[in-house]
Amino acid sequence: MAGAPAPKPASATPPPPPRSVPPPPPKPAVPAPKGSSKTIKLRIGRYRPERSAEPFYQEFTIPYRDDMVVLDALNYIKDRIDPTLAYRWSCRMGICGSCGADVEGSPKLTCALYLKDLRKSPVTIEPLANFAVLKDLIVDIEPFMEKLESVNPYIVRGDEKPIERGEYRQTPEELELYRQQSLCINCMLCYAACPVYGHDEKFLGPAASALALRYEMDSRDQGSEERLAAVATSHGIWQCTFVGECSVVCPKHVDPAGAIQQLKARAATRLMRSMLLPLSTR
Amino acid sequence: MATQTVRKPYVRHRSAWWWTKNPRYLLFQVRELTSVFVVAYAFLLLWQLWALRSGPESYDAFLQMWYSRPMVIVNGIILAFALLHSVTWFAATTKVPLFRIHGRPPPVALTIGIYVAIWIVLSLVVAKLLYGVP
Ligand code: SF4
Ligand code: FES
Repeated sequence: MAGAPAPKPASATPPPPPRSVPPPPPKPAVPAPKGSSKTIKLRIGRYRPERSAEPFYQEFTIPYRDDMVVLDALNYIKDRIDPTLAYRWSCRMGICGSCGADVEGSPKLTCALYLKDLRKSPVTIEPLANFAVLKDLIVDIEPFMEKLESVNPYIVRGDEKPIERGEYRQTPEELELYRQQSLCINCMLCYAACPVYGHDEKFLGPAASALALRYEMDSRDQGSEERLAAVATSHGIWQCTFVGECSVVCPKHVDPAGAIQQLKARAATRLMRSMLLPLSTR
Repeated sequence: MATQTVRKPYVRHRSAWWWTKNPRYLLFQVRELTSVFVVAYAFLLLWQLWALRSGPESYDAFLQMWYSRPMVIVNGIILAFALLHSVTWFAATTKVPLFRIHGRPPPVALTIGIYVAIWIVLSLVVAKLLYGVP
């Protein structure tokens, strides 16, 4: 056992560092963006329920390049300055709908907003308005998910045909009828922009209504009766006062405000028909 | 060490001044406000009917008040709000396509144009019935 290291005497062990001075976290090897001579000051809304009861703002000044978006800035802060910053993102290309935040008071996809286009200093970034905050820029999406589920967002068939008889076919014109509403990425920007939702969280809201219309307009669907009954309520489409801001902020041009008005027209027509026509022809 | 989940959703308070945040919110609030002016005009008309019922002197007094400068200004303000309401309403109606051209909703300008044309024709019919013009 000649090569075995001799056990170190206990006295040689360095004393543990005092508890009050934690060792600095190792800096990850993320280089400062190349060619970045400019800096931008960001004021980020933070909420750390385990530390403080109230949200607060924290400012960061970071170098940036013209091709950086707000999400890049958040990633830069998380990688280089403060790893505790919490926010959602995934695709970086306006598809997953998870990176929404209020930038200078308007709801935006942070992956689609260039830092060079922001004029104010500091630029304020906050969690999406009208939602409860869980941590930093992360909001509670549970109420939104429940609204989506409430509109029967799937094709309902009265007469299901056997699989051997193939799929339910559709012409390009029939697809065109609901294509716009089907582009929604569930980013919830429209809810953050909606003063009616801000006033009453029970309101069904823009995206869930657009989703309802998407199935209403689908030639393969036969569940209109229940779906319209689910949305044409006092907390449903009738609560909409047509502010229209949801359609302004929607990054996918879904026009949820238009969808709600179309649902109102459909619901009203259905009611009129049920009042005026004999049962057999409804 | 056991980790503990601390989930304390924080509900933010919305400022009473939210509608000053952007011009479209403000326009919406003004459009809602137009209803107050429409109701005010309805009361003026009721007043006119009441004056008419109370005899010729009372109606003459009413007319004198009606054509006075302050009243003309009040009517001008009411007209402005009524026009704003109508125009924003026509813009809203374009959201529900009445027909489709090659499977697509008609252009916004065409829909508004149709509504405005119907509006003008109906107004002319009413003017003709009331005053015999044009
Ligand atoms: S309707 Fe538009 S703004 Fe609303 S969730 Fe869908 S994509 Fe986002
Ligand atoms: S990260 Fe996916 S939409 Fe922005």
